[in-house]
Amino acid sequence: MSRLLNSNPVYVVGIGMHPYQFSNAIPFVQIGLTAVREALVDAGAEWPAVQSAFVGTTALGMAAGRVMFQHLGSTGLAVTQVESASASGSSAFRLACLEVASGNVDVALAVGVDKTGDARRAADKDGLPRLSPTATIPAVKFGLLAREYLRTHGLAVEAMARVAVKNHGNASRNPYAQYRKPRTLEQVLASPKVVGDLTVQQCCPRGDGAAAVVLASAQGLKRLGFDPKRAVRVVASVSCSERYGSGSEASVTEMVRTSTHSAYEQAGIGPADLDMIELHEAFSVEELIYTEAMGLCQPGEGAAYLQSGASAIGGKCAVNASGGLLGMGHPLGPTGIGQIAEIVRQIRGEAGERQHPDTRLALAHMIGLGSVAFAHILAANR
Amino acid sequence: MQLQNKNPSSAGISSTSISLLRCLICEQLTYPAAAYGCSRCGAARENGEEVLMPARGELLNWVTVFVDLVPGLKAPYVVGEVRIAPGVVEEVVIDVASEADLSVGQQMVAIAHDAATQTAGAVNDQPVKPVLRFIPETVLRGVAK
Repeated sequence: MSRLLNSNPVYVVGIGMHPYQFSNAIPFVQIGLTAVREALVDAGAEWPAVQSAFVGTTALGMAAGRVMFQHLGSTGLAVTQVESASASGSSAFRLACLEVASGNVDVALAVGVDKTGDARRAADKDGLPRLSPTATIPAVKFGLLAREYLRTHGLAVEAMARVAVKNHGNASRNPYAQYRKPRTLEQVLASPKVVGDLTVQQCCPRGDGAAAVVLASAQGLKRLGFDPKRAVRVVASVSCSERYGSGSEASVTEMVRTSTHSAYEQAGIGPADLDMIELHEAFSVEELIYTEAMGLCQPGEGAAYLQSGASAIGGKCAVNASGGLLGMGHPLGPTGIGQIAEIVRQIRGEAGERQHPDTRLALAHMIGLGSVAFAHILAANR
Repeated sequence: MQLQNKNPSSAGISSTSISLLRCLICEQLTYPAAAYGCSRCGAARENGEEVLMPARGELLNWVTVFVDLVPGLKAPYVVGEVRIAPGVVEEVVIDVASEADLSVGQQMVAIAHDAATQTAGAVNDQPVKPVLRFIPETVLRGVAK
């Protein structure tokens, strides 16, 4: 992918969102089209300019793309639906990058759209017995991981609860976020317990939502007449899945480390070069573990890194300036593309009251059930 | 913290074993024996043999689940990670009165629960399913006396 991205640069030129919200009666077509139309306007593109579209969704069923896109006009574009659990949107984005970088098309769309409710896990249908019926439940997996992390590093529950305080605070400044209320440490800790030391406010909400981005090649930029200074370049795209680990750390942690460092290598950067990261913290402890795995700080120092303010907006490297999954929400299909939209907004300097100063280089990282990982690095084009 | 359903002496205990797949190529174990291949080297199931292991192991980690997450398993209950064989760590339901009864490295043994003896109630009208539960070996010894 690095050779392709070097030889045929890919740019994000349009972003669009439908706010993430608790489950409601609004049809997915309406929320999906809201995001797509906003992205088209942002890109200054008409729908017929889009030659290929990738739709990330987990719960809508077959052929969601055409059901939406027919209302924009039947232009004959290529439509591909993808599913990678929480990382479905990231998966759609990566395929759209490949489509443009390969030279197959000059303008592509990645859209994530989902409604809460119908998602079913293949792991529950593999025909195999399990010792515990909770074995495929992410909240239990991460509750166990949190307990082990806190025990190993001698940390109190407050250490991971502070992730929720920061991210709910960021979300309160994000008009697209599902939660818009700042939370105190006391409120986070006093909210009802879910699993182990994880309280409700340390677990992401499920919901409905949509996010869309328009991608273009250099040729596509010219065709759209798009200002190159507002374009944000994709400089790395990595995908991998869990491997049989060394046993010295959780396999999901190893996967995050591997995928992120592969992305650094593709982009020719190191973690110290990053201005911001959007990452998967469906459960608060993940942010501590992943900031360590991503090399922002040493193993065991994630909590200290957070408490120092380094990962706050205005800090050394803003982590989840959008509010993350905890605050902005996690409607699954849209989440990974929502991360890209946030990064593009920040790099353009258009993030309003949650703007992280001088953002030029950022990482979007998602994991999905299974487990799979996607890492993308985006850079200012100025 | 007090949890429900925590009297092993009334829980229909029976000795039990766990069936695993031993790979004849790399000799590693996989749970369950019905797996479609070796989880380590990927060899086909036909290249493995089923082995019965005592349903016991070393407790590595645990948490209490406070909300109803799966049909038929009423919260609160404790879930833990137990090394049931070399290289095989599985999530299990643990039958203890309190997390305070647990410690890292503790030896755990499985008990086969009869659904009818479980005091935990049905969830969302789903019947309580029999679930293999683990208890500290010391507790089982106490019951045997």
